Amino acid sequence: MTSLPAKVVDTEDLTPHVSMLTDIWRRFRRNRLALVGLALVFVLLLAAALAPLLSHYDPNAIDTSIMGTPQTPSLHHLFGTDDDGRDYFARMLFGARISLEVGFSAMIIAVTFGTFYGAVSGYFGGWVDSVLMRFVDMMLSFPTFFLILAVEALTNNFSIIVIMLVIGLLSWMSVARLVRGQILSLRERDYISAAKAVGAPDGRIMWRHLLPNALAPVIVAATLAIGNNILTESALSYLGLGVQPPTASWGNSLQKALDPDVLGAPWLTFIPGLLIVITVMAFNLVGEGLRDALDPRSSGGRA
Amino acid sequence: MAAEMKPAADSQALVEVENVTKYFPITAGVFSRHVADVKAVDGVSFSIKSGETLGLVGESGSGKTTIGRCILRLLEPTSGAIRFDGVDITKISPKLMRAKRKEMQVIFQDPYASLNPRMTVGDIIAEPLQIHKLAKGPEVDAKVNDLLRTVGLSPYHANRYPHEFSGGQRQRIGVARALAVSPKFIVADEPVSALDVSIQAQVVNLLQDLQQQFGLTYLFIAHDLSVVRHISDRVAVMYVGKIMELSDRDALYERPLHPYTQSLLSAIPIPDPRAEARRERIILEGDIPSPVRPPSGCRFHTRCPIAYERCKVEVPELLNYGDHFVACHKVQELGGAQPSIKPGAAPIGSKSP
Repeated sequence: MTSLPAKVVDTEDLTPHVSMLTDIWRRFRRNRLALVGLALVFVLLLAAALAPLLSHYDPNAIDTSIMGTPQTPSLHHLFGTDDDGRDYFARMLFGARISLEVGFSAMIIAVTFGTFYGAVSGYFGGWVDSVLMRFVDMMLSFPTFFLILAVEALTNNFSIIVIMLVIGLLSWMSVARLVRGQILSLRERDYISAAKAVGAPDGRIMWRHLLPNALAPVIVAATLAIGNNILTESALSYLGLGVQPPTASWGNSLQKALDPDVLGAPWLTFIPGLLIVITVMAFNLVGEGLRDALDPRSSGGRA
Repeated sequence: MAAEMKPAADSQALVEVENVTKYFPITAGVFSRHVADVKAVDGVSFSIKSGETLGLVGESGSGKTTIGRCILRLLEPTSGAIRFDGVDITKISPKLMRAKRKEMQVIFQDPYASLNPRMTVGDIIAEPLQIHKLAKGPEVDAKVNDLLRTVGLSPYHANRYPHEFSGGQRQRIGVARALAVSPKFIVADEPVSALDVSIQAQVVNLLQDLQQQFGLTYLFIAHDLSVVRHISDRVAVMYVGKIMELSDRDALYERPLHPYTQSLLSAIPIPDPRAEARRERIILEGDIPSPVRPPSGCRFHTRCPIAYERCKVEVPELLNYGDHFVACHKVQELGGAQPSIKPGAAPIGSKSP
């Protein structure tokens, strides 16, 4: 064997230093639809945050002078009014607040619990894993929406907090499965063996080595979950088991718009329906974009 | 004649592996019924003296990586004893084991899989220091920089992520991480197999330099016989979970006794066209047997050109012929002489003409 000088100081030039976030943004940007989704999400978040500033109408204020005759959209009332004479634009803005609040909070509950659950299951494996995953199977075997309906009907409490909790606590299973799968494959990696060989305690292996590497698909799942949660909340409200009138939500507005008395006011149906569709689509587009951006392998097919 | 001495009974040994087995159970069905075992390591004994390098060679699936991981207790051996500095580490508490981990480290084969992609190189090298509280605050950075220089990298590399480095550079980072705790003993699990040949020499020389500088003891696992010859003091040859031959490097390469070792060595090309043309290669038939159902008797008998009836029924013991350990009935009969194996001779039971 040749005897090279062993102490070569490695000055070989590295590729330009690019932070992980810059790299992800660069890939995300390439996806036009994802950018559109992101812009829509921003607009929605702004609209919800600035709702009281964007409309000088109180969403629950009844204008008795026009009660019973919904006003068509005009400069005065951007989205018209409903048959109680309430400004529909203001109601939609405050409805956006509800939707986003429920969407995000339920997602945070589901992701936190699901990640913890899946991580424990995948890391400890064996019978712990079997027991935990059989419970997930059981939970998944119920049709989630009907389960949520049943719980809502039983608790008979329709405050937003309860709705968030119910949606969150009944939608963590897919996150748990996802995280478990990630942990199962990651824990066989050499860098985990290296951490064990150096004497790293379980907690450190979990927090510093496993979870950061398992996070990418969880972020994608979380984004998609927001859209799903908004849909669930709207459906619940539509069925009268969600946000209760007079508090405005897209779902209960849609329900109210089906009243035979207001059949001549189609915008009352179209506007909340369209908002729900656009919002859910926006979150899904962002989620899909993130999926490609976070997983370098899947970006190969994109021009 | 062969002395009944185990190759593990050595007072100045740093690592003693005694009759270690590692079976991986194969289970089936809903209730995880135990149906069979993968006998990855089956009764292996050897010792490593302080300051020496023991090379461990064998084909894929011979159990060499498993034995390395058992010594580090990344895997729990099924039976047997592993003494480190005289203490049987298979029996000590997890707390004591954690302290012991300061003294033994590992370098992995694949430099792309052995570094956490979400941690900077500085954090990767600092982690062992933090876990064992070997440095605090600014000392950590100073030590990380020292370690980077020791392995031939620059301190400015500390803020970079592993994906920004080449394979050879990554392997150096792995070496720096292993050195962080100032270990006595390092298991190098195929540390150069995944690298370009030019880079292999650099890493091997780095390992040798570090050995001299810090008085390290190595278990060097590899399948490249030339690299093993270059770095090892003694060499052990494994086949389907058992050691076939173990001896001083020169003795093993100059005068291999076991037919398996002979065939392995005959496969090394010679960098001289005339000698190369005359080289007689012993080509083994068939594949390495499955460790789930290893052959009866001598595990090599299905492929051995000189096997006879006894090899099929009786497991040969690893016997000592003047510090040259061989597990072969033929060698025993010849009293430690090298059995000649005719190239092309058909193994017993072989159906090919």
